[in-house]
Amino acid sequence: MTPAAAPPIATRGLTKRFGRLTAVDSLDLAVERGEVFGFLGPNGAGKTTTIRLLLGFLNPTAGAAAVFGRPGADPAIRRRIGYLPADLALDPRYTACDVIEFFGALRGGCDRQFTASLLERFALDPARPLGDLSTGNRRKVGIVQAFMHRPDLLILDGPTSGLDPLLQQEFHRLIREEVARGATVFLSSHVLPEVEALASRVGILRKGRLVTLASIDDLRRKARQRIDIFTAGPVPRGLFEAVSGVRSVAYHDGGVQLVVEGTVDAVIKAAAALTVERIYTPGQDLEDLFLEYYDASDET
Amino acid sequence: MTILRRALRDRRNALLWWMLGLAVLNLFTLAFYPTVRGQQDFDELVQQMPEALRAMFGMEDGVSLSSAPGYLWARLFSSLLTVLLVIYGIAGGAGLVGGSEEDGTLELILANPVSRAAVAFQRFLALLVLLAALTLFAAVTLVLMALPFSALEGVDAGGLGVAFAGLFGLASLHASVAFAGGAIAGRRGPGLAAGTVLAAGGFLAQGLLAAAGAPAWVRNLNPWHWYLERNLLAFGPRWEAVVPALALAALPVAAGIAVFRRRDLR
Repeated sequence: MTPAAAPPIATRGLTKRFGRLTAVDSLDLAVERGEVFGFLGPNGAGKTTTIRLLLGFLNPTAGAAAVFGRPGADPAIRRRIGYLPADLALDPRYTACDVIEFFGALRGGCDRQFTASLLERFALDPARPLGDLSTGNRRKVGIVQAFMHRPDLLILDGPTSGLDPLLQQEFHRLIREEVARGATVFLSSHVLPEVEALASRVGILRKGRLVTLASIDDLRRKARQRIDIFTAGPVPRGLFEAVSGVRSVAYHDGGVQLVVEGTVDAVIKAAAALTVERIYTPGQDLEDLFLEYYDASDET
Repeated sequence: MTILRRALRDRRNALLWWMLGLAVLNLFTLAFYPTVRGQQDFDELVQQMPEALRAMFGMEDGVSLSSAPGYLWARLFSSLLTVLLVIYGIAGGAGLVGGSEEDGTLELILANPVSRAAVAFQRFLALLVLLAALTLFAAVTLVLMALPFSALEGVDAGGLGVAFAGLFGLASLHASVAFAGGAIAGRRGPGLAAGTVLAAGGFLAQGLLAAAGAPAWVRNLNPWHWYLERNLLAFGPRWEAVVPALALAALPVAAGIAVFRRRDLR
C-alpha cells in the first residue's frame, strides 16, 4: 500500500501485556480517512494503552499498529498527528505561549493565525503558567496544542472532560470543522453522549478486547435506556410488560421504571393512558447503555 | 536544537541560584585564607593526623596547608566545590529523562515530530553547557575574589585551569552515569542512586585506598583518584585529571540512549 493511500490508523492483532495483565488483546482496527471514529469503553478497558501503542510510546507484545502506514514513532508521521492526552502533563511553569512556541518549533511551525483564533475561541489567556490554571483551562491548552498545526489525524483521549457545556459545544464545532477540512479523528471516551454527538462509527473496548464495531445508528438502535415514569396514581400492573422494546419493568411508589431497547415510541404511546407527571431518563452512561455488550462478553 | 534551547531556558533560574551558592563558597573560603597563611603550627598539626584522613582532605606531603595551593586544594578542590558540582551533575542528569518521565512531562513532548534519541541527547548536551557555565563562573569568581586576599600566591596558573577543567570532567562523568540510570529505568531514583554510589564510593575510596597501601592499579580504577591524585595547583597540570573522565562519560550516555530509544515509556 502506498503511504498516500494508507489508512490513518490500522492495527493487526495488536496485543500488549504488562506481566500477567493483558491490557490490549488482539485488536484489529481500521480507521478510514475523514471519519470520526469513536473508541468507547469503561475506564481501564485499554483505550489509553491503545493510543500509547499507536503513538509508539509502547512496543506491542504481539501484532502491529500503523499510522498512515508507518510506525507512530516515526517523526514524519508524528508531524501529521495532533494528540490531546487525557491529562496535560507539562512543566507547570510553562505558559500556553511557551507550549505553542516550543511545540510549534518541534513541528516545524504552526498556523499562527489559526492558533490565535483558537486562543480567542476558547478564551484562553496565553500568558499564565499552566500550574496556575484550572483543570478546564489546562484542557484548553491541550486542545490548542493538539489542533494548532492542523494535523491530518487527531487522537483525542477523553476530549471534553473538564470542559463546561458551552465550551464542549465550541470544541465539537471545532472538531466538525477540522473533519470538514479533511482531518480524521480518533475519539477515545468513556461517555457515550460526546461520542454520539460526533462519531460516525464506534468500536467498544472491554478488558482489552474489541467487543463491538458498529455504526452509531446501529448502536443507537440496539442501545438500551432507562426510563422513569412518575404518575399521579398507581400504574396498573401489566401495562408495559408486553410493549415492544421493553426489557424490564419495576414498579415503585411514584410510578414505574423501565429498561427499553431501541426506540421508546411504543412505551410513550402506552404511557399516554396514564397521568404522567414527569419522565426521567438518567445518566446516559456507557456503563448503563451498553450493558448488553458487556453482558454478552461476560458469558464467554 | 529546539529541545536543547528549551532545556537551557527551563534550568536558567536554578543555575543562577547555584552560581550564587558557589560564589559564596568561594568568598568564604578565600576570606579565611589570611588567618591560615604561614601558620607553621597548622602544618605540624596536620602531620600528626592519620594518612587516610590527610588524603581525604587533600593534604599532601610537600605542600604546606598554609600555602595558597595547599589551602585551596584542600578546602575547595578536594572538598565542597567538587562535591557540589558533582551533585549538580547527578541531580541534573537523573532528571533529564528519568525525572521527566516519572513526572509525566516527557510523553507529550515525545508526541511531537522528534525522536527519543534526539530528546535525550540534546537534553544531555544542555546539561553539559550548564555545567560548563557553572564551572567557568566558579573559576572566574575564585580568581577575581582571590586578588584582595592574595590567595593565588604560588598557585600554578596552568594547574588552576586544569583543576577547573577536571572538575567539569568529573561532574560530567557523574552526570552521565545518573543520566543513564534514569534513562534506563524511566525513573529519577535509579539515576540518583547510580551517581551517588559513584560519587560517595569514589570520594571515600580515594582517601582510604591510599592509606591502606592499595596497589596503584586498584587506585587507578577510581575517577576521583585521577583527579585528586596530586595537587594540581602546586605541581601543575596533568592530563589524567581531565581527559579520561570526559572520554569515559560518553559510554553511559550512549548506553542510556540505546536503551531509552527502544523500551516502553512508563
